[in-house]
Order: sequence, then structure tokens, then C-alpha cells
Amino acid sequence: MGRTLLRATAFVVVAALGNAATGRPQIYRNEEFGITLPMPLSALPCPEPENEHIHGPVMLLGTGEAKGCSDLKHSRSILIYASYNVSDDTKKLQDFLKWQCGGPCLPPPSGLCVMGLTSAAARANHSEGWIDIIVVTQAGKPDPNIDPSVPLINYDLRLHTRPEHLKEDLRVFRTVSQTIRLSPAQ
Amino acid sequence: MNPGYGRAVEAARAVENASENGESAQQEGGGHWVTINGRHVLINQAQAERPRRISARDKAYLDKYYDPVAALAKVYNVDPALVLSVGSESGFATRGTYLRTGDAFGMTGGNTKNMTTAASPTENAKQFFDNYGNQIRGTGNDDSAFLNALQGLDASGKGVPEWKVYNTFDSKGWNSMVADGIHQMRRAIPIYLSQRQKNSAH
Repeated sequence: MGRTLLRATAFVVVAALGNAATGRPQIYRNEEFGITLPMPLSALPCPEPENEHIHGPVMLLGTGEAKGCSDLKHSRSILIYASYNVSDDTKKLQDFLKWQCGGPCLPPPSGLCVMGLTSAAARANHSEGWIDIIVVTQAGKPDPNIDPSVPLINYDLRLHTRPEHLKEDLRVFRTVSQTIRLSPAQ
Repeated sequence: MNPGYGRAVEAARAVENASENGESAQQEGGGHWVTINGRHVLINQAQAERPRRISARDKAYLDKYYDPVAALAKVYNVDPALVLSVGSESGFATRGTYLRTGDAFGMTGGNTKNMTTAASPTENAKQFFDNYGNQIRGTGNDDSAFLNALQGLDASGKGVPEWKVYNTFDSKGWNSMVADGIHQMRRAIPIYLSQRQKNSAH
């Protein structure tokens, strides 16, 4: 466990140094869900645990310290979560968005979308003043054994921030939603 | 015909069919309590309004996993639907590392390290309960307590130091995915059992 933590910490340090030193974004890849994302230079990638099923990248905003990775509820962050389209409740994009809001879906900032894919967006307000800006999309060849009309994978792109940081964090989130590529293997 | 009326008729017929098959049914609030194989299942209005169909994927998953999971779930006093919902990690045993490892529950890491491999659904169900059985013991059909237990928390949401955490990386996303899976399994299992009972009677 100690060695895993050490390795994970080392990954974050190397990633941060790499970004700062080269000025080029590190490319995140998740083969299973077909995610490719140039990590924003201003974001700090959270270290991925080796013994868990990883559904997408998590990155912190406005900090150089990774300790917020273990308390995402109270950390400004961008989270991308991919999951197989398994439920009748969420197989349609608008239903999936409603589910992800976890309460009332409020109007989102304008112009949020994932390039090249049909997407939907909303804002959800949470306790203690936290705000989620959510963009959902779907990709992957439909499985006729489930529903031939729905893509295989649901993607939730989420900015978690506070009102006083919304403007600056939204700028990073827009870049993420415009540069992410979602192309799961068929 | 009004589609809403059609769905209502279909739902009513489904409950009637359950009664004909020796399954009792009664209405409560906006839903129906149905008893299948001695188990009480509440089908709420939203569920009842949906077509009484099960996808080929869900049927195949339950053919493989229902019995082994249900047998152990009984020992641990937990609703099998809750355990089966964790199969959403693998698209209910159709995708991802399941195809290489036989692990439907996402106990396998996303890379080639720390692989959990299972030769059969029975072995895979045993692995799940060996790892998390003591944490989920007695959660019954309480979704929240079940999710908390898998995430290393007690029913009130307080961390239990010696417990394992199923997903530390993005727990909110993971909880949302499994909760979605719970809804799907609660919808699919009564249909699956009802169809199985009909088939075995013929």
C-alpha cells in the first residue's frame, strides 16, 4: 500500500513537472472507455489507484497539492466518469442528464458541448454553495442485445466548483469539453 | 390509443399474471407489492409503467449470476438485486475486463496489474462476498446502507477504519452508476423470475 501511494505521488509530481517544464499538455488515455484528453496545464491530475476500475480522469483546479484528491466533495475539480449504458432509466441522453443532476437540473452556462457528439448540459446547486456544471454525452456502437437505438457508453463530464471561482474554472472546463475525444473500441 | 393507458393496462395485466402464477399481488401507494418465490418485491409506479420485458443482456446476466449471488445474499441477509447491480461495472457481464477475466463486478483494476480472475460466475460471486460480504451483511434492501458499506462507511455514513473501499477515485460517480444499476436489477429480476417460473412450469 505504501509503495502504491509512493508511486502514485511520484506520478503526480512527474506529471506536474512535465507540464510545467515542457509547456505541453500531458495526454490522458483510457483504453476501455476510449477517452483521450490533453490534460489542461492549469489542472493537477489526481493519481489513479492501481487496484481499482478506473472510469475516467479526475483533476484538481486552483491548487498544486494533491491532497484534495481524497476529498473531492470539497475540492474544485473536473471529473470525467464513463460507464456502460445499463439502465432503462438513463439510456436516453436527457434522462441520463436528469439522473446525474441528482436534483433539479438548472440552466447551464451557454455553449457547453462535447465536440462531434450529441451532448446535453445542466447546472446543479449543492449544499455549502458548491456548484456542478454537468455535460453528458454518449458514444460507442449500440448493443442490439440491449437497445439498438442507444450508444454503448454514457459519459459524465463535471466541473465541481464554487461561485467565486466559476468563471475561471469554467474556462478550463470548456477547454476540456472541446478537446476531449471519446471513441470507444467497437 | 393513449400510450399511457396502454402502459397502465400492461402493468395491470402483469400483476394479474403474477397472481395467476401463484404470486400474490397487492397495491400500496403508487406501486404494487408482488410476491415471487416467497420474496416480496415492490414494483413502483414508474417501474410498473415500463414494459414488462427484459433485455437479452439482462437475461443472460441473470442466467449466469442470479443463482450464485442469491444463494450467498441469503447467507449475508442482503437483497441480491443490490449485489447484482455492481455488475454495472462490466455492462452486466458483457464488456471491459470481464471479457478477459470473468470478473463482472469491477474488482479488477483497469490495467493489467491486480487482476481478479474468475473461472465461473459462482467463483466470481464468492470472490465478491469474500471481499465485501462482512461489510454489506444485514443491509437487506437498503440501497443507501449497501452503497455506504461498499464504500467503507457504516449506515450513517461514518467511515469504518478497517473496512475496504470499493472505489476511492470518484466515489460520487461510482455511487451514481451502481444506484442506477440497482434500479435496473429491481426492474429486471421480478420479470426474470416470473418468466423462469413460467418456463419451468411448462
